[in-house]
Order: sequence, then C-alpha cells, then structure tokens
Amino acid sequence: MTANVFWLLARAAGVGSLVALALSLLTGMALRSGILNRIASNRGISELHTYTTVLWIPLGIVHVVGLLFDPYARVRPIDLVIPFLVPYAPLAIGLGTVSLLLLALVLVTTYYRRSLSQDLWLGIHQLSYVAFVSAFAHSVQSGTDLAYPFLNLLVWATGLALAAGWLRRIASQRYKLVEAR
Amino acid sequence: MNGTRGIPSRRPVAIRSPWLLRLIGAGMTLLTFGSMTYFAAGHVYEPTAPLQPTAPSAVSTPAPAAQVPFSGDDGSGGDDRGFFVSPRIPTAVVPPVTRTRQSGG
Repeated sequence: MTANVFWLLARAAGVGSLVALALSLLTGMALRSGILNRIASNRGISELHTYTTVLWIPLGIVHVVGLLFDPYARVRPIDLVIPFLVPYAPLAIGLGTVSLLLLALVLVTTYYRRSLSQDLWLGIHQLSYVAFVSAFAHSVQSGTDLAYPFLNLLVWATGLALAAGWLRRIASQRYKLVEAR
Repeated sequence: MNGTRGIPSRRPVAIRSPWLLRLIGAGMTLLTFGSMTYFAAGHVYEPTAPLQPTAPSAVSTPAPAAQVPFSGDDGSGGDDRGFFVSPRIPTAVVPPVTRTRQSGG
C-alpha cells in the first residue's frame, strides 16, 4: 500500500482535479451566459468560480507531484515543461503537460490582471477552455482507470456538461445579437 | 400601464447562500477524490486499461529464476520435501562410483 501511495494519490487527484476544473469552467461560463441563474445569483456564481481554484489547484499539484515520484508512471521533471517527450505515451501524457502549461498561464495572468488590458486578459483567460479540452483528452487517453464504466461515465459527464454549457452560451450570445438588431 | 416595463424581473434562485454553494462545490470535488482514492486502493493496476506504463523494475532487473520442486527420487528413501532446484541447473543423475585400490583408475 505504502509503495503505491504516489500512484494512488496521483490517480485520485487527477480525477478530482478534472471535476473541480469542470466546475470552475462551468461557473465561469455561467457568469456571462446566465445558464445557472435559476440555481444561484451571479454574485454567488462568481464567488464559487473564484473558490474553485482552491479545489483544483491543490489536486492538480498532487496529481503532478504524485506522478513525478511514482516509479510506475515514469514521468520526469522535464515532461512537466516540455510536452510529448514521455517515451511510452507521448501524446496521451503530453496533452496533460499542455493543459498544465495553459492553466499556469491563465493563473499567472489572473494574478497580474490589473496590469493587463481587459481584452488581452480575457483572451488569455479563455485559453482555459483549450486547457480543459486538453485535460479531458489526456484523461480519456491515459487514464488507467477508464476501463471501469462508472469512471468513464464520470469523465464523459464532465465533458458533456461543459459542452452543453458552451453551446448554451453561444446560443445566448446569438440571441443577444438578434435582440440588439 | 405597467410601471416596471423594461426592467427584467428577478427570478427566485434555488440557493441564496454563497457558503452553501462553496460547500456543494467542495463536497462534489472531495467526494470524487475520496471515493477515487478508495477505489484506487483496491485496484492498483488495471490490466485492461487503455494505457499501460511499464514498471522500471520489469525493464532493468531480470526476473529471478523460478523455483520448481524436485520431483525425482534420489533413491535414499529419505524425505524430499523442501528440496528445490533451479530449472537452469542441470540435474543429471550420475550413478555413484566407489573407487578402491583393487579397481584401479
């Protein structure tokens, strides 16, 4: 059990982080589209959106550090910075690296938001959608537990929830444009 | 005429407390993390998983030779339990030869 503690934690934290990240993106989308207006006020959603960073960042760190120390996964420190270098699964693990780098960029620019223009900050912030897609593909391709149907269902449910929210947001934007005319 | 025309009506929301929202968010995440940890402890390595990282010990360290019980009878009539030989070591049975001064050689 203790020999596999990094392996166990890395897997659990990876799934937990994906769920929390999906929640973060869903609440972020809801701020502009109002898709969660029936559940909570925009202020409450905004607070939840900020709070989710407390959830997904620590779990993401546990996932990465756990894989780094686990001899079974064979992830090296350079794989956290340069994607697609892992010998046995360059694409599957590399997508996780891409997601990590994009999310780091989003977090750093959010910290320095006041010194950036609103358009630039928003443009970089929206890279979190790309980061989630990358993390989702990473989990589907390299998730060693996805042979189990209920875990497969959980991961696909997060992806579908985000896709539905994104479609709803696009629909509401089009509706606003039509109304403005 | 309606005096509030043009002002969007405020819909009632299901959850008013931001703390409750946080609690739900944290609950969903931690429930996933906790149940996944419990599950992972019972399923350490999944042989049918889409990705199979190779353990470094299997690559670098040769597997130890399998031990097989010795099945032949050594003719001593003694108990052979607990006597193991490696399959890589030849175990041809050579008849015992007693050399004396008369037999020479």
